[in-house]
Amino acid sequence: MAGNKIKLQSNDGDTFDVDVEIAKQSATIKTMLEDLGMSEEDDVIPLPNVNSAILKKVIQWATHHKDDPPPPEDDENREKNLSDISSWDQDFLKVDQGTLFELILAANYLDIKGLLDVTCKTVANMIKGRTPEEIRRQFNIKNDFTPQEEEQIKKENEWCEEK
Amino acid sequence: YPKDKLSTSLQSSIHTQTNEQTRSTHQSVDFSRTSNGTKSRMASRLTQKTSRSVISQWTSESTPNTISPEQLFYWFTRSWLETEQNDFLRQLIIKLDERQHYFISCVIMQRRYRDFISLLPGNITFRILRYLTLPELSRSRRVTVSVCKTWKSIIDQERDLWKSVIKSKSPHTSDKTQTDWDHFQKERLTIKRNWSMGTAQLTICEGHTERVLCVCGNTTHIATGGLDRKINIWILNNGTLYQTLVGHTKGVWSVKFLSSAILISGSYEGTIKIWNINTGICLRTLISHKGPVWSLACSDVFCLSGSQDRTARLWLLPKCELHATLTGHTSSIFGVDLNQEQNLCATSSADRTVRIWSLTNNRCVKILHASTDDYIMSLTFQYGFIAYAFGVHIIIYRVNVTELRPCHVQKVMETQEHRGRIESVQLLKLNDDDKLPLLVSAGQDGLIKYWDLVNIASQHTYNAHAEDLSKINCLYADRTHIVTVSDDTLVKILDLSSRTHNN
Repeated sequence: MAGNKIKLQSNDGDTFDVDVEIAKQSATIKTMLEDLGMSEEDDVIPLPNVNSAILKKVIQWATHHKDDPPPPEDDENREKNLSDISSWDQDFLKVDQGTLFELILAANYLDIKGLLDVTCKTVANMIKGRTPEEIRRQFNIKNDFTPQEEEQIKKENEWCEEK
Repeated sequence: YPKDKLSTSLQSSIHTQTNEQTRSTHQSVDFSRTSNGTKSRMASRLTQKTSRSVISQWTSESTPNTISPEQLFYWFTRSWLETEQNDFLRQLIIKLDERQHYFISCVIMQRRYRDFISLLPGNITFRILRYLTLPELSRSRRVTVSVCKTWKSIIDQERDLWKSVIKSKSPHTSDKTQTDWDHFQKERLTIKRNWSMGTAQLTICEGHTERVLCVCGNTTHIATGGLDRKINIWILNNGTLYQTLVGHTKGVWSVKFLSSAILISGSYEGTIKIWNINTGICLRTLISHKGPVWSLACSDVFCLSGSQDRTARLWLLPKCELHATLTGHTSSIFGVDLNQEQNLCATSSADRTVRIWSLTNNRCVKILHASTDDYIMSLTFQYGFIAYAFGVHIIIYRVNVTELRPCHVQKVMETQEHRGRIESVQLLKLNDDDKLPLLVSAGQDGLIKYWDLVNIASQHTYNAHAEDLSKINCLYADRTHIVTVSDDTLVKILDLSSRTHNN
């Protein structure tokens, strides 16, 4: 089994040779291989939602994590801890927001739980502990509330602020 | 002058691309990648000649006046292939001066941002927001709704977010931050020994002028409500009066802390009030019940209230919004509780039933026909156990929730050791890793008892109020204290953390 390769094709036509075991971290690909009985030798698996630059990154991530234990099934055990991102993943995710965005979509489409977790955590870390103004700056979001609306939200929320 | 015009058209062309970019999120992002990687196949289809001819057409000094910026813009956006566009841009960028470079770099910087919350599919947004809710729920909510309208509408819709928090939140916060491990272990042992020996120091607090009806606490303060319409806040460690909250027009029958500073109270007049205990100001009054509010339970953003009007109401607190009304009981509801682990709540009533409700669809999932003759006065629903009291009886069930059977209960213990009607029961864990909780109970016989759920006989009995046989109306217990309130207007604090031995 080891050493078997499959070909993954990005939406812009590039193909990548990937170890089957690495590719199977994607539940989507795993299903294609196992349920649809695609033979690994000749067929190319088209991934119409992923471009080659992102697919390259996803393969890089999956290669690094190929020996990880499978993530726990139930969401309940998912730690609330946002800081438990490995240093390799932290470096891997030092990318611009556009790339991070595409990685999340790719992880979602390919159903790679570990990658989706770590990318979502990265985004959550970009929000956590910041003020609304800092969050707007972080994501270049326009504040579209009128001063009256802002006041209203403040009223709705701030009464329960601890003093 | 041609430079200016060109930069204008370039600006608009980049602008167009930006718009396209936001529409189709699957396009790749920066220029270098587009030119190097994704379009390589297309590039190979083209001959170098074609693309050069386009450039030379433009760079030729002899024809500057024959091309209008509009024409150039049209070519760029409509008739050129991407490779041609890229070649054009490469040539153009070389020609630009520093300020124009800066201008372009600013435009590109803008494009590097992504509003993840607004643009990602709902299930992923939910995932991200869920990470935020856990450490400090109400602050996260407050901040994220203030970012922009889209965020606010997304977060307002995600009611399930707060439900999932109830589901996953650890019910008991302990001092895990304690760095001095030795000290921590020693304290833990002392508390364990005090509970097993029944060693406690008694503090008596005087302040109410009539019967005291209810009590609750947090790590620093306790709150008591009385028939004198007052709520008194006491400092837990020494029993001194910290604040008095005045505002209810009839007796206060239930109090619960929402946080260290926010207290919720329910009164005979049918209102629920929310207070800041530090300022003593009533922040909100919730009016909806058509009868006295007998019981309250709180968990982060949710508050559950049980009333004489036979309904229990679930409130979403940041907005003070009535989230659901639970109907079904045929008589007054005396006890309510929210189980933080299982997304359920429970109510106990004078109709002699206990009902368990799902917080997901607000439907009753289980009715326990608990007693035949006595009202069910008190109920507690924590750590997967439900305990309730009627007359001198206490019954405890383990509650299992599975997919097939939404609510399956199994009797753990039944006891009738008290000599007067039991008014209050509470489950608590001394340590987070304890398998079974303790049950503490108190009632009209003036006795406080606790059980370890293994033995049918109580582990210890206090008669803190018994010298004058005062009826205990309510109790609050945490791992180091049991606080009781009684008809004799007194509040009694039993401290189980002290290291001295005096019974």
